[in-house]
Amino acid sequence: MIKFFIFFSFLLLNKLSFADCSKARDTSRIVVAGGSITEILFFLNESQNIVAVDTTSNYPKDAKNYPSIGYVRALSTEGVLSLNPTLIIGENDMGPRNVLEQLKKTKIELRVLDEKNSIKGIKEKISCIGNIIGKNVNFTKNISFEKSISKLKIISKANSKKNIKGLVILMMQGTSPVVAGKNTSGEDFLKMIGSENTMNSFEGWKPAGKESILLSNPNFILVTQRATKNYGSLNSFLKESGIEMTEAARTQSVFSLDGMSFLGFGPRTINSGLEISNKIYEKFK
Amino acid sequence: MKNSNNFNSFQFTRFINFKQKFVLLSFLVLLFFSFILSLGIGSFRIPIINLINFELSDLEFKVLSEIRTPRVLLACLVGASLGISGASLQGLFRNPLADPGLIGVSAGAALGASFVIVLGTKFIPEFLFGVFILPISAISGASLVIFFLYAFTSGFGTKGTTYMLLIGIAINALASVIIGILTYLSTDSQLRGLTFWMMGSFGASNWLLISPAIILILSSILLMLPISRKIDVLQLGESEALRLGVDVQNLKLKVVLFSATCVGTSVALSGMIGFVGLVVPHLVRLIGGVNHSFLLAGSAILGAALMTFADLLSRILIQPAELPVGLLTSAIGAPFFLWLIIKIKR
Repeated sequence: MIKFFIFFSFLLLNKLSFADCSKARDTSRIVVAGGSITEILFFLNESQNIVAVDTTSNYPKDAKNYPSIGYVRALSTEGVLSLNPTLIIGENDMGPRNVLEQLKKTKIELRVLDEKNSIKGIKEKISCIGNIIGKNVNFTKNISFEKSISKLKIISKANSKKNIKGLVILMMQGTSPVVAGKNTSGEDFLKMIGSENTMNSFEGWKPAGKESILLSNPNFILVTQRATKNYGSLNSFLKESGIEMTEAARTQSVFSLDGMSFLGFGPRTINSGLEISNKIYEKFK
Repeated sequence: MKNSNNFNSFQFTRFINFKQKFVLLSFLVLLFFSFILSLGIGSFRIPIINLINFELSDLEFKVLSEIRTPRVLLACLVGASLGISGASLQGLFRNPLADPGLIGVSAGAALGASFVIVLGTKFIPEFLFGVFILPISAISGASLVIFFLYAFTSGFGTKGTTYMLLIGIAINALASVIIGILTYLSTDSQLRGLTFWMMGSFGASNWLLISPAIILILSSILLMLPISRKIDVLQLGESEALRLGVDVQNLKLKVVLFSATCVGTSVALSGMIGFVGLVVPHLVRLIGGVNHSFLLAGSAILGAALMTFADLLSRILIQPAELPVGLLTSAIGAPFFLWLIIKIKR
């Protein structure tokens, strides 16, 4: 019985456990593992204590000037420790696991943040990071950001009543277009702006046949700038990928934007969301 | 040296016996059917009745002409080129395990492609971008490997085929290392692109892309068929072939050059598609016989038929997503290969 109870409480604990957002002991040397965290620290004007970032931290431009601790999912314990950090803040996909275990054994504080790709998730992440570094984040003070959020909420709600379907293309080079399936940041972005994902029958980012894309008939398509850059321009991308046959291309509802700006779910994802949700609101009345 | 004319016959069909002609014909029928089947089936439904009556809607016609037809054609071409390269290289190296990948040409092409996928936007000026940049870079990679091969083996000659094989393996390893480094450098989305490309796909095909491929692959195949009789003679050993009047070095040059063109172009347009080049020639040999006049033609036709069919499966098995075609061919090819080895051993 006791065993059962312990097991059960473990289950509960697991369910209820969320990121520790309490104030860190010492924030004088911060190592960041995750692009959106770096972005948020800059957003909060608290970048002065960063000593190193991972390779996914490439926004804003100044973030690239820091020493790199490698890729967020393939960190090395000694590499991180050599920077003598007092605090490590990481995204929930930071790893590998054994490195995390090793880092936990050192006395350095390690905070792994939750990942919720939504407006609420972005706000929570910002407040959480604010708490950790001891800065009380008051969204009402940042009027333009708060305004963008409330605007986005209104438009997204309006959009969601219109049953608009979208598609996100990550890249296309020598294969069929690689698109966002279920449980991807691409789908989360579509949901955030009040639309549905046409490709909801498979998980993750997968190549989808051109015919299937035509058949799924999205109202609008989002393409990363990287994908279009490989073809020179958006127009030649549309032409050579066969996307130009879709209804979305005919109604000029294919938008290309910087991948991290809408898939990274940092503060600027709100702006990308606002931009695109406005566009589709105007298009589909 | 007068003798050599006997082996340089453009009427290579003379050396194909009646049974083999029948086999070739049935391969052709198979190819025809898989071609028609592939044109008729896809996630976008095009009713056959409409097709026969020429009553396609505008969109249906566009899907058929601009998406499906080039794709099926490319699958055919790549299948044929991998099949015939495999057969001719196995003949040249007198080694049943030879594979178009073995001389390092596909690794070279893969290296070129990975370079574009990972470092493309950094090092290549913007005006060069477009649909051709990936294939051109892949072809350059393949050519580089051929050049090295040529240089190291002093014109594919003098030092014997085993030497060339070893050089090929070494180049393969070298290319894999550089691909590994590029993989390490790549970002998340690049890595995804790279991985899917490596597994092979005909998804990117359009007319613009495949027209040069048609010319390159078809001309290589047509140039390879007439030398098939010489490959037969080579089976007696290099010195014996020399004595019988076959210019062995010239033969090596031709086989390597033509099959490298085939393989390089194929990899450039469709990524890495394994086991077709290895398994198809064995199948053809089992069915009809070992003389290369028959073997080369048969491998090309059967390769095309099987690849068209594999691509059809890759398109429809898990639609709307697509199964990489290289996965399919390897999934079928690897167990078959295992069976083959066990059978030979017995």
